[in-house]
Amino acid sequence: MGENVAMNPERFAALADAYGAQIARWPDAERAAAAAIAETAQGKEILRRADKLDALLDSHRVAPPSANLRAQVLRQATEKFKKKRVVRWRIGLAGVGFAGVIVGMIMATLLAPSVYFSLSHNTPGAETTAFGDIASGSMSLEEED
Amino acid sequence: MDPDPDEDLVRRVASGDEAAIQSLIGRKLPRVLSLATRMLGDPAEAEDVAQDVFLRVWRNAARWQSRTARFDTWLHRVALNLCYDRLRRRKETPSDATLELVDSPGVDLAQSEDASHRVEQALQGIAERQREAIILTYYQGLSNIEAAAVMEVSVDALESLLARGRRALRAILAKDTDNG
Repeated sequence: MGENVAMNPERFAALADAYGAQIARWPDAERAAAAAIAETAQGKEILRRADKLDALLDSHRVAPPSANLRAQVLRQATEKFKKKRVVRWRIGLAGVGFAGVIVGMIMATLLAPSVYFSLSHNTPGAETTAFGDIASGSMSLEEED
Repeated sequence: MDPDPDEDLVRRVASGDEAAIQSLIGRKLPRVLSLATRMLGDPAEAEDVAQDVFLRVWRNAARWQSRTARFDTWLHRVALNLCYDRLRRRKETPSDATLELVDSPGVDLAQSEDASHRVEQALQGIAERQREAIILTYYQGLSNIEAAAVMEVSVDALESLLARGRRALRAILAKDTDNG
């Protein structure tokens, strides 16, 4: 409600019924129009009735948070964020460990001695195994057929 | 939507900034506690609710998105949900404490305390949704639009709840005065 509702004594009374006597608590869009009615005798009477209930409502006091409650809530936060930090630290540690493994593997590849075995045909004895000469053996089987 | 005045603070809380945590507690704990105290009419239960609300704040701060709702609106909604859980449980198993709360006007209180006590009893005597509407707009100082958003109703419906709630309070308090 608000912007599209014309201000008249009925609407003024409805607003006082809902929000009380202080026009500052009423919807923004209706305050200016309501201020004019508030100056009339009818408006003043409506506000006076609403104000009686406001005065009673204002007498209701709630104790502020105790030091104990504040400390408890702060302790919860400290524990919660400490746990989060530990989890983050562990994740970080695992990340560092993983990165270490990767770096190690790369270093091992780069720094290992360049000795390797070639099975190329140009290498003498490359076709020789513990079971003899593979190439010549297969040749001889073909010949037998 | 206007910028959320709590956005920066909540972001700092999410990173574990201790000063921000202290500041958020200072700014919001009194509001949450008074909301819960007035909804439940029981300071001890209200303290439990306040602790539960802040547990949810710490848990969700990192995921908080100001685009969906203001932090204060979300905080009120969480607090009210927890209050309704307790009110529901009370209806299922009415305890001695609840009965005592409703039937204990005869304590020797100073005049101002007595007035406060009468209002507290009157608040507990009206319908829950009417009480919620009055607490949000009158005591918590939410605008009609913010209160309607927290209650997930239209502004028209909010005004109707407020008017009926205030009428009911006036009737209870007038009867109380006549009896006194």
